[in-house]
Amino acid sequence: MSFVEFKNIQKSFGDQKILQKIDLEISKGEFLVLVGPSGCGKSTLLRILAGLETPTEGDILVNGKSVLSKEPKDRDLAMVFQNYALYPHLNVFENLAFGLRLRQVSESEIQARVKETAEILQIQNLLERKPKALSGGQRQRVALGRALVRKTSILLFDEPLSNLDANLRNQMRYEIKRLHQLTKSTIIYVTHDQVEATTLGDRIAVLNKGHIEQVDSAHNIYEKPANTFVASFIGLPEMNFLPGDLVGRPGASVGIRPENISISAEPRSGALEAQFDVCEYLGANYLIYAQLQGQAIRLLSPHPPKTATGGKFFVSIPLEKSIFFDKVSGHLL
Amino acid sequence: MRQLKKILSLLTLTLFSLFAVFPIYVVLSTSFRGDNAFQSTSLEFWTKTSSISNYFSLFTSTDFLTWMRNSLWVSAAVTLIGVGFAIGAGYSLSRFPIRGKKTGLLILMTTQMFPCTMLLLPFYIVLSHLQLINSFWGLLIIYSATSLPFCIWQLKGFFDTIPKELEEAARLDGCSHFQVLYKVILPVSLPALAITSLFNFMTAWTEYAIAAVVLQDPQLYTLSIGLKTFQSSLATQWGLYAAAAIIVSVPVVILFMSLSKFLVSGLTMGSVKG
Repeated sequence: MSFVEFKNIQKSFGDQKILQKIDLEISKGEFLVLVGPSGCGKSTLLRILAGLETPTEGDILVNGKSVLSKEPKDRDLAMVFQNYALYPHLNVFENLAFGLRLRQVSESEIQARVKETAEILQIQNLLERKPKALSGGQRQRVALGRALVRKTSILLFDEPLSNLDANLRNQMRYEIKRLHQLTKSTIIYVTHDQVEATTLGDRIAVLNKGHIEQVDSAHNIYEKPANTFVASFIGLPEMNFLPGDLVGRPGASVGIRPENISISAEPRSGALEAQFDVCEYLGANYLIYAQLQGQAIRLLSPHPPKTATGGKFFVSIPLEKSIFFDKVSGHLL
Repeated sequence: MRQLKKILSLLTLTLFSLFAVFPIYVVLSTSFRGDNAFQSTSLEFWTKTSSISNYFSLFTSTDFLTWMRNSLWVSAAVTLIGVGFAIGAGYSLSRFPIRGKKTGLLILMTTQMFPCTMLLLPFYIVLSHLQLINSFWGLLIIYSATSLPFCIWQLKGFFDTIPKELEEAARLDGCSHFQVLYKVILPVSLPALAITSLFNFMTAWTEYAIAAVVLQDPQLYTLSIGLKTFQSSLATQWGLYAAAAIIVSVPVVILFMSLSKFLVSGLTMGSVKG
C-alpha cells in the first residue's frame, strides 16, 4: 500500500500551468527522487506536499488520509532547503532544538535527541556556534540535523546539495544515503542533478513541463527510457539520436549511449565512417565529438582516435544496445 | 605621493572634526561658566567663574526634571507605538499579497513630502475638535502618525531582505504565523528595529514646532519647549541653557551607543547561502 499518494495534482500560477495531473504513489520507507530541468515543477510538487503551496486541483493522501487541510506543522514532515534556511540568531543546538521546543518536548528529551542527531552528523563540536561561523558543508549538515531531529515519518529535500562544491556534494550524498538506511524514513528528494537522482533514489520520477515522463528504478530509466526526453535527460554525456528505420516501421529514432559506441582506426564489419571533431579528457575516458553522416555525435572511449580534427575514423554501433523511439511522438518502441 | 595623500586626508578629517566638535566644546564650556558669556571669544574652557552651579540650578530651581520626564514619556511611547505599528504594517506589506499595495506604499511615501510647518494648522484643527490640545495624547497621535510612514518603509525594506525559506522552515518546525514573526523575523530584524526605534525616539525627543502648538500648560512641557523658557527678549540664561542642552543630549548618546552593536549589518549572514 502506498504511504504518500499524489492524486491528480494540478497547480497554476495565473495562466501558467506548473503542474498538470500528477499522479504518484510512494511507499513507506522509499527514497523517491523527483528529477527534471529547471521550471519543470518538481519543487512546487514538494512544496505542495509540505503545505507551503496549495494545489489548484487534486489531493494528497498520507497514510490514506488527505493532508491538504492540515497546516505544514501538522503534516509530520520535515524539509531540508536548498539554501539551508538556518535561524541566524540561534546557535546550532538551538537550531536543532527549535522544532522540539515548539512541540513542548521535555528538556531532557531535547538534550538527548540533539546529542544523538549531532553524533550521527558529526557536528557535536559545532553546537555552540552560530550559522555564520559555519562552512557551507557544516551548515548543510545542521540543516539536515534540524530535519532529522524531529523524527518525522517523511523527509523532504529541495535540492539540498546544489550549493556545495563537487567533493562536498559527493560526501553529503553518501551521508544522505547512509541516513536513509539508518532511519528508514520516507524521503522525497528534489534535484536537477541526474547523478544525485540515479545514485540516491530507490525510484526516480522524471518530470518535464509539469508532468511525469517516467517513474521507475534508476537502472530501468537508464536502460529503458520511456521517451526521448527521459533518454536524453538521464545519462552523461547525453544519448545520441540517429535517424533510422525499423522493419515495418519507417521513421524511427535510434538512441545509442556514448559509452556503447566503439571506435577503430580501420574499417570493421558494420562500422561507419565518422569525422573527428574534438575530444575532452575525462580521466577514465575521452569524450569524443564527431560527425556521423552529417550529424553530430558524442562517444566515450578509453583512447582518443588517432587522427587530427577533420580526420576519418570508424565507429561501430551495436544493435543490441540501441533503443528505438517513435520519431514523431518520441515514445519508446 | 602616498604620504602626501595620507597627510591631506588627515588634515581634512581633522578640520571637519573640529567643525563638529567645536560647538560641543563651546556649549560644554558655557554650561560651567557663571558669567553668562556665551559670545566670549576666549577659547578657555575653565574660567574663574566656572563651576557646576548651572547644573545645580537646573535641577533645583527650574522644572527641568518635569520636562525631562515628559519628554521621556512621550518619546518612549512614540517609539513603542511607531515601531509596534510599523512591524505589523511592514511585515504584512512585505509578505502578503495585498490589493493596492504599491499605491498604498506610494501614498505613504508622499505624506513624507509635506513640511511639518505646513501641517501645523490642520493638526491644530483636528486636535481641537478631538479636544486633545494641551494633552500628551494629541502629541502622541501626531508624532506617531508623522513617523509611521518612514518606519513602515524602513521595516518593510528590511523584511523584504529576509529569505522566505526562513519562515517556511519555521512553519514546518511548528510555528504559527504569529510565532514566525516573533520567534524568527523580529530577532533577525534587530538591526532594523534598533534604527527605527532610534529614529522615532530622537524625532520625538528633539521636536519643537508641534509640541509648542499642542502643549500650553508648563507642567506638560517637553524639553525642547522647556529650554525655550530660558530665552527671553531681554536676557537669555546661557549657562542654564547650555547645561540643559548637555543633559538633554545624554540619553540620546547613551541610546545610540547601546544600540550601535545592532547597527552593524550582517546579522542574517549564514542563515542562507549567499
